[in-house]
Amino acid sequence: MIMLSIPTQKRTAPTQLLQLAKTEAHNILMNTRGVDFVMICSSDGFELATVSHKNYHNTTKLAAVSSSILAMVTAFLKEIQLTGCNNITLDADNGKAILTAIPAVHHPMVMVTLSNKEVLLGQLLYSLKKASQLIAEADGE
Amino acid sequence: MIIQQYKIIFAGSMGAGKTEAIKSLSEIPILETEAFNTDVQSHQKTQTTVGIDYGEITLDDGIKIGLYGTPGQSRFDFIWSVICEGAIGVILLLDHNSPNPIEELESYLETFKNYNDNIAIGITHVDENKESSLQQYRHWIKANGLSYPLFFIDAREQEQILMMVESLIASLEVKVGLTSQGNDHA
Repeated sequence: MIMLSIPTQKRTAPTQLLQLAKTEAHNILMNTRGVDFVMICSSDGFELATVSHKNYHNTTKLAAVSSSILAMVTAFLKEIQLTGCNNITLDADNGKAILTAIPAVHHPMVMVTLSNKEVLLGQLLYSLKKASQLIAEADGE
Repeated sequence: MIIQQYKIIFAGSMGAGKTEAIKSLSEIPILETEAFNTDVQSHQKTQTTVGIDYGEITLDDGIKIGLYGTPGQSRFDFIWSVICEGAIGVILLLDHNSPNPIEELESYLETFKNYNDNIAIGITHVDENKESSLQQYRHWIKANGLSYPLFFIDAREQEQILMMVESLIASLEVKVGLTSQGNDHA
């Protein structure tokens, strides 16, 4: 049987990788008008880094819910023969929430972005995709 | 056509074998929502359920049961009440290897009995910790005046999980029977 052999002490993302993820999150927050909050969390639902203009209560719960939603939508896509769930855009009356998968080989993560409803979605999605790729590549090095 | 399907929930501690139990019982490939586990203090396993697992089994009488697995960690407790909606019972699995299995039993029972009181308790990984008493569970249940059925099981063994499912259905039938008798007398 092939086993994923990552020593248990290395399960959590290294500081250098987290710092890069936080910098990317910060760049999105500062360079995309309408973005209020960006959080990086582990794919099993732990908050790793947060940058924001607004305070949101209970970010630990937000991390758990986000990882759960991403996992469930990924499972749904798999059922309908679609592979990989890159992002989920939730469009509400008063804002948007975007969950972006960071498919880092050793330390998969989720980026949670909250914005107002006037945000330029195309610009934001492009920035999120670039950030996700950059972080994933850094983890593979 | 109205499809009649029942729902059973698999709840309990991280690493107790909830996903494994659904896998061993399900007649369809199960829908899994596992993520890389970074919380090695809680458990060493590499993958952990973060959403809802789903499998299905058809009983001898043609009744189809949906098997729903929950994440064990309390940070995912927002799913628990949602998933228990409309269930006929809960299979509560607890890892005998855990440092405080009785505390976990108490905590999960306290939470899940609010969602559904038709609960069967399964203690897993019993062969991995022979120093810790198995009697402690029976004593605790008795001392607290509870009457939930208790099983010592291997989550990989289909027959053992099936026995728990049957026990839940039997308990439900007794409860429904008592209720209808009560209504007849009223």
